[in-house]
Amino acid sequence: MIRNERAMRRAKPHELMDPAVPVITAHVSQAELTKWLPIPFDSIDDPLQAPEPSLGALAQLEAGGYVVLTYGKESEQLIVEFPVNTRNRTALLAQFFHEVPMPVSRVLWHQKGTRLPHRTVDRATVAKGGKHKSVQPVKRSALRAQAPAKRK
Amino acid sequence: MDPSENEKVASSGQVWGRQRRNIFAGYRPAVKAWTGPLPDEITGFEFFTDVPPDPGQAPAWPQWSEGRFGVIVLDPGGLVAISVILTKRHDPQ
Repeated sequence: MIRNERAMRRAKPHELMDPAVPVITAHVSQAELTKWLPIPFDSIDDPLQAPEPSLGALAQLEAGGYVVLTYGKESEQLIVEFPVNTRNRTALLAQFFHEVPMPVSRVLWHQKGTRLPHRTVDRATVAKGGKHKSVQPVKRSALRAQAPAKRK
Repeated sequence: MDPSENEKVASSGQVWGRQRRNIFAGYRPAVKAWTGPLPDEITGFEFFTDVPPDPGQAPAWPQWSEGRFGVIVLDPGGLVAISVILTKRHDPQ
């Protein structure tokens, strides 16, 4: 299957007026992000907008659904958010993985109540009890990182 | 990044946040953070807060949105803050 023939597109900010909620987080290198999500991303360097130097984009899938993509350069984590009023998040998630050749094994967390596509689940990772998991309690201690200072 | 961010947080006892308008219009202003200790090599700050994060967020990626209990609205629709206790800071070299 040649998956990249189904191309998502970068959407304009006004195309999504509803809030969005995170559905999955995944560990992805920046090179992989560029390869698997070949759309233009905006840099987010304002610490009031993101907890670390980040890349962000609103994208529309070929199938029509919108996804909000945020990538932390320090943590190398991709956060995929769907509009809060999405009726079937599992279906939209399946569409996302149909159009984006990112292995499901890269998923660190997924929203409770959604299901990852079965056909690409890395069973070895799940069996090892590795990084694939559902909701964890959130600690209230937190950090917000800035880019490391350059040294001369 | 703003090199004065650490001092602003330390002096105000607040972490501020705003929306990412350049990405999509549906964001409410929110304070955003990562959960966990501040790594040694990273410039930034670590804090504790009693304000509960928004429900339904990714576990390592809490946020505190406008309208939630304990979130201070500094500019409606634009800028919010939460009260924090700064526990560690790594300033730019």
